[in-house]
Amino acid sequence: MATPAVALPHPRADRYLLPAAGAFLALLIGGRLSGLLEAAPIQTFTIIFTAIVVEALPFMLLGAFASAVIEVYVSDEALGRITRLPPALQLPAAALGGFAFPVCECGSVPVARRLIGRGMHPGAALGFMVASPIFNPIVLLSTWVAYSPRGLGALMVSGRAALGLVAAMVVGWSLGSEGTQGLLRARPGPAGAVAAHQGRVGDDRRRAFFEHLTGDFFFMGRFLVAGAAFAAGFQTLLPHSLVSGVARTAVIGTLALMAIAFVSSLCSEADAFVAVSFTQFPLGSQLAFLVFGPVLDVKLAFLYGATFRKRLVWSLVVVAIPVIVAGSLLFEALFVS
Amino acid sequence: MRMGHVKASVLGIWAVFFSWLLVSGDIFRYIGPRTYWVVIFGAVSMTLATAGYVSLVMSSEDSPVTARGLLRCLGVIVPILLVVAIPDPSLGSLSVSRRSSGAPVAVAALAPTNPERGGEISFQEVSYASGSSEYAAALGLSEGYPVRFVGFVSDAATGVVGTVALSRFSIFCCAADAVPYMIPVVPPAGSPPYAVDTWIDVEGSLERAGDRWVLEARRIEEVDAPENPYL
Repeated sequence: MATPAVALPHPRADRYLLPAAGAFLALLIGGRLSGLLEAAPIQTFTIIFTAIVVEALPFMLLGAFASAVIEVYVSDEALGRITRLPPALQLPAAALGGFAFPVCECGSVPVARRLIGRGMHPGAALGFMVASPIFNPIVLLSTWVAYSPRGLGALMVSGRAALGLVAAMVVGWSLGSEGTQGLLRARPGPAGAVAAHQGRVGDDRRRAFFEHLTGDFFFMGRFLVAGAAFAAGFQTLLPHSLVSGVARTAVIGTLALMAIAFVSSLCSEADAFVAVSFTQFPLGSQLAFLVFGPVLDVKLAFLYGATFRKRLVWSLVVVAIPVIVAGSLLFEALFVS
Repeated sequence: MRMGHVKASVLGIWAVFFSWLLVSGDIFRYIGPRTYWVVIFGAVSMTLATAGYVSLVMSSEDSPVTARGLLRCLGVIVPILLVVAIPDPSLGSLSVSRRSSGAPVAVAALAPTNPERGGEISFQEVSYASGSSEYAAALGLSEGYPVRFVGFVSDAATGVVGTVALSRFSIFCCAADAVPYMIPVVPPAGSPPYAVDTWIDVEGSLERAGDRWVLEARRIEEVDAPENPYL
């Protein structure tokens, strides 16, 4: 089954591209000459923005690599063994499969897209996408390292893995029924490309592989850059203290930390070190921060928006927030209070 | 010129940028020691992707360059353009004020429960001790312990009257997750006020101030920012 792919004209967006690029370059040159770029907010923005992109880009390339392998080298027969499984088996298997794919969230999006395009049940692919950045060994290890000084390593690792898995399954079950056409956003590219690769050999296949690799890289890359810019802007402008006043209120405190996770766009391999410093918030709220961030943050919102239809992104918000809030409150009530 | 040339150039620019981060040492400005390997992986994978793309894909059948295609590809190197325009950016007092974890009590949550006693005391340990008397006791701090630290002046609230906040960041994965550490410093009598974000080298001793610990400075000297600004 081929990913829906059509050439998409964007005449209105195109009209603004050139002036925007010109304005950006003029700002850089003018700012450099006038010393404006040395201002603290610009320095803070630059360092956070660049750090997020430098950290995420290799993982995104890895995701694009995996995606191109699935597209070009995995045969219909091999994939068919998985895609013919009943959805009730595909979904938990794919979510648990996240354990074997140790990349951040930026890498899992192109892979999920490609799996859906190749006929995997959409719920299973979404389950994989949500689970892999939470449920992979590096993330769980970093959570243990961050919380073990307080003697909470095992509790937070189990809580994160369990709530992440539950969130992935619920997202998969509830949003996967849309069908491929209802999920994926059309994007530029030659239609029917997948079928064409199956009979290719040698250089043709390698050529197709690199076409897909760079196609995904450049497509997702510009959304990653845009998302990182917004995240850096939020981190530069918004103080965390804005929300610390509601820290002791269970539900609002949890929502507040989820909001911080959304705007901070931290890598899931590092977010535990930040979460542990929110001592004024209950542990359940910190757990919500750890699970919600890898599911949805500013940079991911851009990547999802580029990959999936808008309705799916909103549905993800509607489904994920109550599940994570409820799960974190339950965690607090059962294991902390 | 074809789109393939543009794409190959952008991939190549990223490969060079990752390699430059490693060679110049500027990697530490953006990425923490725990994720140093990501940049090595980035340099290698981008180089391989560039080489593979150049050798196999660029051909005369490739589409010609359009303004839209060009700008969309160049959008991916905006961070590099910013780094070129702002060569040595650093996090400072503004970032301290943006992170609630800058409060000494919050930072103390990161402290290990059984600190190693003896040996040279670190910036983080004094910062933890400043926010937690239990940690200070576990560390076995004694008044008059001589220390010397380099950091920048921030306008964070120290909680101790008459002190300035000596701050440093520690990063885990990248600068986006930087956690600020802070030590309250009592400047020597007659010291001039220090501007926010000024890097200073402070020599003195640790002293009690109620249930808190402060660094009572004997000498403060303005210095350049260290090559690696993080702890």
